[in-house]
Order: sequence, then C-alpha cells, then structure tokens
Amino acid sequence: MMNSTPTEPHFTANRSAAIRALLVNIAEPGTPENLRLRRARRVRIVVPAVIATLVLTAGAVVAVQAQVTRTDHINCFARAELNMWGEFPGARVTSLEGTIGDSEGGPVSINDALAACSDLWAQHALDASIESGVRSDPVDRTFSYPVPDPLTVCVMSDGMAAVIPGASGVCGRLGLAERAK
Amino acid sequence: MPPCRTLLSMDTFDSRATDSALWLHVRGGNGRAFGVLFDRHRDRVFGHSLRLVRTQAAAEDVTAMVFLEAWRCRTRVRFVDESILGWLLVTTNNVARNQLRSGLRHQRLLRRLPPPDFVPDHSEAVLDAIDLDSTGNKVQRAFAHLNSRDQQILLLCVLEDLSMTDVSRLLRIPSGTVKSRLFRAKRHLALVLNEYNPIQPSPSVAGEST
Repeated sequence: MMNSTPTEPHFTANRSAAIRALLVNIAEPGTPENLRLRRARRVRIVVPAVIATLVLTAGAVVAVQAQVTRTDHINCFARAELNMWGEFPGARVTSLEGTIGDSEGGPVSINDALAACSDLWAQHALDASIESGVRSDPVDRTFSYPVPDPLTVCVMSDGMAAVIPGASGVCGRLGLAERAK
Repeated sequence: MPPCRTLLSMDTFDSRATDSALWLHVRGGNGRAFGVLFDRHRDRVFGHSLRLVRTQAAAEDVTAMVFLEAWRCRTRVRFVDESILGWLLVTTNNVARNQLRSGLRHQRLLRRLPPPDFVPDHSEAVLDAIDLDSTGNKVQRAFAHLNSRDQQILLLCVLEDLSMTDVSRLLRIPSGTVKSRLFRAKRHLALVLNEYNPIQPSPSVAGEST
C-alpha cells in the first residue's frame, strides 16, 4: 500500500542467502560472528561496571579526606539511611556557630558532634524503629536510654557533620565522607 | 515398564516445529534453527519493510537488521500463539524508524552482505512509480500525520491482518486501547485523505443547490 509497485519486488536471492548464512553463523557458538557479538555485549556490560566501580572508589577516596565545614548544625541519624534528596531518619541539632568545636571556631570536633547526638539517644529522642527516627512523645529526662555503639561521624555534601549508628564503613555505604583526622 | 524418556539434543530439531520451540534451539546455539525461522518469516518482514522505506535494498537491509535484533534481544523476544512473527513486525517498525541507529549497531556485520543488485534500466519502474505517486504519496502523507503508536497499530491490524488481541499482547496494551486507537487512526487517515481529495458534490446536487 505505502510503497508498493506494480511488479512486486522480491528479496534478492544472493543477499537473502548471505543474510541467512550470517544469521546461522551468529547463533552458532564459537563462530567469528558469534564471538564478535558476544564480545561487544561483554564490552557493553563490563565497561559501565568498571566505570561505576571507579566512581564508587573515587567517592570512597574523597570520603576519607573531607572536613566538617559547617558548624551551625549537626545531623543525628536514627538509622543508617539517606535518600537521594539528602533526607534521613533522625534529627538536626542546631548550635550556635563557633560554640561547637575549638575556641577559634574551627571545624567541629568529633567528640562534640558525638556528644550532641549521644545526648539525643540517651533521652530516647531518637528511635530507629520509628519511620521518622524521632519520637514525638516526652523524652527520657534521666538520660538512661542506651546509646548505639558505635556511632560514626561522617561529613555530608553540604559540609555538616552527620552522626550515624554504625562502624566507620557506614559513611562510604551512604555515599558520605568520613571526617578527616 | 516405565516409559522411555528421550532428551532432545539441541543439535536436532523438527523444522516444522513452532517458532517458540525453534527459538529454544536458537538460544541453545543452533544456527540452523535460526535459518529456518528466517526462511519462514523473511518475506513477511521484507514486505512490511517495503511499506516503510523507499527502496528494495533498504528493505532488505531492514529485514537483516530485524533478525539481528531478534538474536541480540533473544531473551526478550515475545511470542503470540507460539509465533514470533508479530514481534518481528513490531521490530520492523522500530528498525525502519531508527534505521540509522540500528544500522550503526550492526554495521560491521551488514558490511559483509553483497551490495544490492545493479538495475540496468529502471525507466519502466520509474514510470510505474509516477503513476502510483498521486495516490501513494497522499496515503503516505496521511499516514505520516499519525503518531508512531497509531501507525504501528494500523500497520499490524490492517495491513498485516493481525487480530486486535494479538496486537494488544504484542504491544502490551489493553485490547480496548488497540480498538480505540485503530478507530481513531482510521478516522484521522480518512480526514487527511479527504483534505487532499475532497469529495465533490455531483453536478445534479450542485445544480439543485444553486
């Protein structure tokens, strides 16, 4: 209908035979055509995998080198979870810039960030079993609720400290930097 | 006595087997089974390609690319009532639309094919084509007004005579959607064709109105 001509065209015999032979060879394991397509497929799978690995490795290298540069807030994670929009279960503790860390207003010390979030845990303000990670009911004023051990200080992309339940590898797992020593 | 069970070797197959049975052999590395499928569906794929591209040589290339795509996507090929034909036809639409991209993908293999036949004198064919041009171009232009999904449904249901159920299974859309899109595509085609060739009132009717 669209492109038909009065004399119905037929598939050229020698091209048909060549295509048929090509297809037969492609499907037969071990033939050059088959190996070529399989190699091309392996390249398509392996190259992106290598690139992804390099990107992840590069991220890990960056992770050990980051410093806390924002001292106005500390992010206290209830669970080791972080979504692509930077949201996490837990609370953000506000502090006055410069009052946390050393006397010259330098980077937040690990102990200060840990202490701030440990306080929240001890008051049972953080709860890993709640979706938001934060309890809305009155907190434990006796400061007797168990604090997860270990807690690790990571650095978020905006330079804020994040205190997360888990060992040092938890930062890399969430794509965050570890605080540089 | 327990029944004797025979394991079918991947090297042996019945050439009258269904497409889906043959495809198992193709996936198992039996090239001859792929050859049988090519013999079985080559002409339908070629005929369909001819409607979508301008030359016979291009249609032959598209046919080759469709079968190469079948092997490339061999784990994802869909069968309707054991037949691969519908999938091949849908793929023909896609390959013809993305001929350049598909061609690049299989460039090295296609280069091995013999060049298209030399046509010494094509004046007859040109004259025939000119005769057809007036209607053929109109249809083609009207067809081009449809979106690609409607084109696909129209080609498969009307020209390839596949049932709406088969098309719905192939395209993974409800059969009601196929029906409504087909109706819409036909109506649109009719409207556009009438724009090119509006129905003229007969002289008697014209006389009555004046």
